[in-house]
Amino acid sequence: MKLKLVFVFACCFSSVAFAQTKSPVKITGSMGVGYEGYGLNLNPNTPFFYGQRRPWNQFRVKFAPTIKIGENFSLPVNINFATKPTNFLGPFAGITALGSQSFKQWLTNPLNNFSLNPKYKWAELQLGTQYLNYSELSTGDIGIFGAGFDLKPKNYLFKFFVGNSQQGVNYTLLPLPGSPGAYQRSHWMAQVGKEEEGKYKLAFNFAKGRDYFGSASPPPPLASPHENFVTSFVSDVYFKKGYYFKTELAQSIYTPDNTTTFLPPPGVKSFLPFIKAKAGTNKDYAATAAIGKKSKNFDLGFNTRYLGAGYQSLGYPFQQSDKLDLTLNTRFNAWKDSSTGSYKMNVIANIGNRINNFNIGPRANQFIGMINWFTQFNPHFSLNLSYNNFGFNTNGVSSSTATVKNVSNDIGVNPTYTWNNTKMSHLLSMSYNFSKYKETVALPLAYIPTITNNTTHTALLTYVPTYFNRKISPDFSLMYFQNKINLGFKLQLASVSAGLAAPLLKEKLKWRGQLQYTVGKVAAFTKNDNVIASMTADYAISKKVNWNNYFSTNYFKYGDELGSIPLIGANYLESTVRTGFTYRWK
Amino acid sequence: MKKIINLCILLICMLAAKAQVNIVLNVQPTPAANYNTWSQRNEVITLVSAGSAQGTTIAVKINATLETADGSPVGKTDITRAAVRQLQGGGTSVFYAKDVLDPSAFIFNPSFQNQLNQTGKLKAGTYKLIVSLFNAAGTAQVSNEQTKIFTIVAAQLPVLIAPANEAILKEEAAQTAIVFRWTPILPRPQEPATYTVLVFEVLEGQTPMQALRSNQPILNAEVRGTTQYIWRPQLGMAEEGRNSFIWTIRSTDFRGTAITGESINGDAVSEPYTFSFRKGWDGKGK
Repeated sequence: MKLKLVFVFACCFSSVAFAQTKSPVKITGSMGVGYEGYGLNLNPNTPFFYGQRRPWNQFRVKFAPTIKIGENFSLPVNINFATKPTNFLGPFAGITALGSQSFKQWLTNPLNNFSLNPKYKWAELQLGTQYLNYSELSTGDIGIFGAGFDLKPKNYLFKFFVGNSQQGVNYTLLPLPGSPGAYQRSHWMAQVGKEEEGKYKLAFNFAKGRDYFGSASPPPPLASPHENFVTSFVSDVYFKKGYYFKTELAQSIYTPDNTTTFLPPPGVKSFLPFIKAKAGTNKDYAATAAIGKKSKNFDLGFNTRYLGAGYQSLGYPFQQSDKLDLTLNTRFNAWKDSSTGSYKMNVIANIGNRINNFNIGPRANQFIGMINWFTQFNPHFSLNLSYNNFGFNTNGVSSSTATVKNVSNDIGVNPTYTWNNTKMSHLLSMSYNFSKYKETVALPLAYIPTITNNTTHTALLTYVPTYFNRKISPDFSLMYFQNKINLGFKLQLASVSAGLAAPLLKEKLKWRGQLQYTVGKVAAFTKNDNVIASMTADYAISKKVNWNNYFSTNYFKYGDELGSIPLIGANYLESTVRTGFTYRWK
Repeated sequence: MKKIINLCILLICMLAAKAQVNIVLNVQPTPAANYNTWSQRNEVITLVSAGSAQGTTIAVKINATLETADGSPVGKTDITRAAVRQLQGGGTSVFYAKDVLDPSAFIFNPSFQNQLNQTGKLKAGTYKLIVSLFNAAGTAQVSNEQTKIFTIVAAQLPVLIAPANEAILKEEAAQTAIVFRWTPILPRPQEPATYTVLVFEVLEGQTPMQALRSNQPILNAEVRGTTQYIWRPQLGMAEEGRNSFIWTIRSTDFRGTAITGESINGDAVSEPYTFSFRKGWDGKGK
């Protein structure tokens, strides 16, 4: 912990040292400390019926000034960390099961950020945690702790970065829920190219990722140490009148287990010195392309994205491979208002098809269609209509695999009416959504498929008065929600909520509160009740220092849907408190 | 003379019978399409051999042939390159995919090899694995022959349907209920799969992926068999700026084991989507 504090203070003092020089130094940004407390009271305490969903206590520290010296030099600093690891998914999942984190784990934990990006004219040095997006297919999804640079002399691009996205985390089963473990993963990436903003971009990307087997002991049982090298070529061209063409072509060489000593099969070649082929190494391709036109009142675009079954990038660890996406999207404005010159109608629509398991099979087809149609008929009345369709279809390939079809249709109608008098304006908005979802599962040898029909109705009424001479801002809403499955299961919810915002203490205290009550009924069970109250109160201590507070409490009382005594009428009270001070450089 | 020949044949048969090793082959009915992972997973193929006499050791080679359901060849062991393995007498020996389909000796037909070189995966369909043991010289079969049929179906993790990626929900409605929908895991397991719906708040200064990899989920709910969950968020909405979320589905089988599909992470987590709340939504957004 001492080391962590020394590191943080070193960064802070180095920045303050800049600030104290007499040169034309300008600092923007903010820093602050915050505390978040969570409480949960269950009645009864046993048996278990509701789980904690936030850390009991959490401190967060943020130090994010941007120091500008003269016209050409800037130093953005971003130090942002929390005292308690809360990782649930990813390489650090369940790390608290191992006791305290090591210093390296703390540095690379995605919960924390430590970065310095000094920039002089076209040269930027990248130090610490960086979320670098080189391209859609090469790398760009995860934070990497390391060092690199981003140079843009004239229109040329030279980028390089090297670091670790995760440290080795030992696998452990106890204490529950344990830690699945992870290998240390190192990355390096480079980009070379040329770009003129708004005209073109041509760039080669190179991204390497590698896991280290010896970094976790015991090693994670469900993952092998991977190795991956991606090369891609990006070419974006922008023409006159808003026409554009963008494409990226990529190749990945991927070894699922870099510890294997077996030789690669015939036909698989190494790409030295970047990656050496081994047994199991495969080489596959991916591509994206987009062509279209963008203008103030009309957009039309066609996008396609293909990822081969063996295409992998450790820079996008959750990316699903073996798919082909095709989408056509448009946006246009119509019905010009002759008095104002603006358009009364705005339409956004897109239609798309995705095929999963494109190469390996069995293919699964997804269809997505959506239209949103907004019309401002006059200064008082507007109407928004929306329709979404989703379809999913896959055929089984053997007697044991089912054919699955899902179809979802959603229709929404949302009229809004506003009117004024001399003291205030009123907004009344009504919204109704109907959703029908049908899932059909058919086993090849079964005569009758299993069909699940699911319908949802949502009706919402909102009223927002705005006072011209008073500083309070209230809002009110009523909502009804109903979900039915196969005529057998029905969930109904009705809620009423009211909000109020008002400045107090000569506008030094900005206050906003909300109260919501919901009554719910699940099938034939008795009703349940839920009350939520929340409030924010931000007090300006000085022009630069703010005290931010948030309080929320949530009381939920079940009917008899959880079972017999003692769970009939079981209830919980959940409270959250956040308080913190923020200093803003202005 | 005829009697002597018959006697010799009988003697050879007796010797052969003495050397006979019994094998039992087990293959998962629907193993992962990702062939490269088979060598790391002992449950994909198990070959148990038994039968050599107590105190003796037999040197053998594993001979495997892989065919499609219609008998078209997929690949077979080059017996001259197969590793010699010692069977301990009086006991059983167990071999796994890495031994049965020994990468240094098992030769795929060119079209299948090209497919593996590119994707690392076998195409969906029904296959037949035929295994026997040969003597150390690779000249004679010394065990019974076992055949198992299995089906490759590249498991697809659920695809998220609603809320759609980057959806903007009306805060006034979303604070009461949000309907989550996704496609089922494919192929559907015999026992219904368990889906865990995970929702993470994206905190100030975080990227959605950072939130997914570092935060405690604000929703962690398990549902069995069904592909819908209605979430009552029960979140105080007074605070502005904390209205961005990332969600995903984690799939497990009825034993609680992660169904990893063809994903490389081994954590059974579907490609995540983001959504956010917006007050006073006017229809001009997405």
